[in-house]
Amino acid sequence: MPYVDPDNANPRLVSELAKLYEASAERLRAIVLTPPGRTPGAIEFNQARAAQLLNQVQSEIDRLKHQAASWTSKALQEALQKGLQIADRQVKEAGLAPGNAPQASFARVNRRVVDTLARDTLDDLLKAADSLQKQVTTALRHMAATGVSNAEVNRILAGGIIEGQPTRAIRELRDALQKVYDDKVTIQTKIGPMEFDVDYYARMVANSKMRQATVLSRHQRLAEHGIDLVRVVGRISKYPCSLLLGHVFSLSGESRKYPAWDSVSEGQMPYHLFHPNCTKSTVPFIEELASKVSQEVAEGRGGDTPTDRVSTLVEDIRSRARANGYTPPPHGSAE
Amino acid sequence: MASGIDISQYVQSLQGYEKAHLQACIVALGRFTEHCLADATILCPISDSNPTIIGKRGKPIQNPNFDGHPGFLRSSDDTGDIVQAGEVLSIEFGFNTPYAAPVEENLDARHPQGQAKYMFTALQADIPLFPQFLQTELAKVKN
Repeated sequence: MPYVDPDNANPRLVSELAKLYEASAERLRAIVLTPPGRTPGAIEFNQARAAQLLNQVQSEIDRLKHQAASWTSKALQEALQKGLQIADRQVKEAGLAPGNAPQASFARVNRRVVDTLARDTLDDLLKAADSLQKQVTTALRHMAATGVSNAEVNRILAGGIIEGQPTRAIRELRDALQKVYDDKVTIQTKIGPMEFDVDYYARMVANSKMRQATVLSRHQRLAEHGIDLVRVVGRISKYPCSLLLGHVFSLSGESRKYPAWDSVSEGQMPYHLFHPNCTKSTVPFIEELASKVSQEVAEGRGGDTPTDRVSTLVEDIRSRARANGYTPPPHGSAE
Repeated sequence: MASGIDISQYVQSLQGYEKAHLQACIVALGRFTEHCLADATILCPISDSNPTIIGKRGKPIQNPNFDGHPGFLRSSDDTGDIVQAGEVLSIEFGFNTPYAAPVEENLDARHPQGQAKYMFTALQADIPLFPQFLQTELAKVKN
């Protein structure tokens, strides 16, 4: 199921989704009309990006509500057209639309993630929502006990996802928590009550939950393309989940060559993947398109350490780009 | 004696092939785009997750590579629907943050992990693979 079909969906889910998009549409309209920025270039960029996002958000609202475009203000209509024209020009100037090749974009509303958050709000009994619930740690599960409801958290995070503004979402969540608490929040955990700094807790909840929702929605998207294998990627850190970097897993668990995703995806020890503030994520692995080097890494022959495996993968992509006549800029490799 | 050949079944099967080929192209384009996006994600910069680090004097200092939301840029990847306009199939893909484009373009920034031109490098590495991949996928329809 690609996205929510308004004709065949739970009406509460449709209404919840419309609400999430409406909230962002309001903020985006304000940016289109009076774009922020210190330089003319920044102002143009912000207006163009907001216009692109607003266009997608408005079509989504229209689709959910079965109605024609609901632009009311003439000033907004003109500003939106101007923003979209600037966006078109910027794309052409950046050379990002080379004929029939795939088109790169930096303003794409990820509808699947918003969908996942809306389902979570409704506590829908669909697999996605169920997995989201399974994956959250005890500290996050008790978020509702802080006095800020799950629906409120999801509304804030969906705004962050739609507009691509994590900082604003974290700040909004912190403000919501501060209305109930001052600077410290106490959460029940497995080892008893723990006190967190409100700023830290808001960041942890936002980062962890947005990551869970994006991983789930990505796997849904890959299933739509018939892709079953995923590779673990992320920051090389001191946490044991870094041991999984570069390894490949089967989402269905049906592969004979690669282990099942379920064997690591729910925080199993020793890896403890997707711990709070975890930066690991997944990317698709398509055997027919994977280079020999990439396949060797997937089969555990690309180096003994996570650093070796990540470096091998990075160098493989860069060397293939060089072989096609392009010299990439330097690449950092943190440990 | 009248004779004739009924070619309607043949025409129907040709139309069936056309549909199957188009479907194969759509599937191949979708999978190929996911592959490009995967390589771009591997190259995409990622910030540190610790707000403080130990400085040269052995005391904790603010981490310059901490932005408060490590991995958000990488996780904002998405692909759109495949759109058919005449004989052209197109798909849009990318990342959704206001800093995705500046991070792509700023060649002076130093990233602890990742690089500028993360999308362009991935496209340069992968686009030459597409014709062969498409040919293989179309051959599957024939067989």
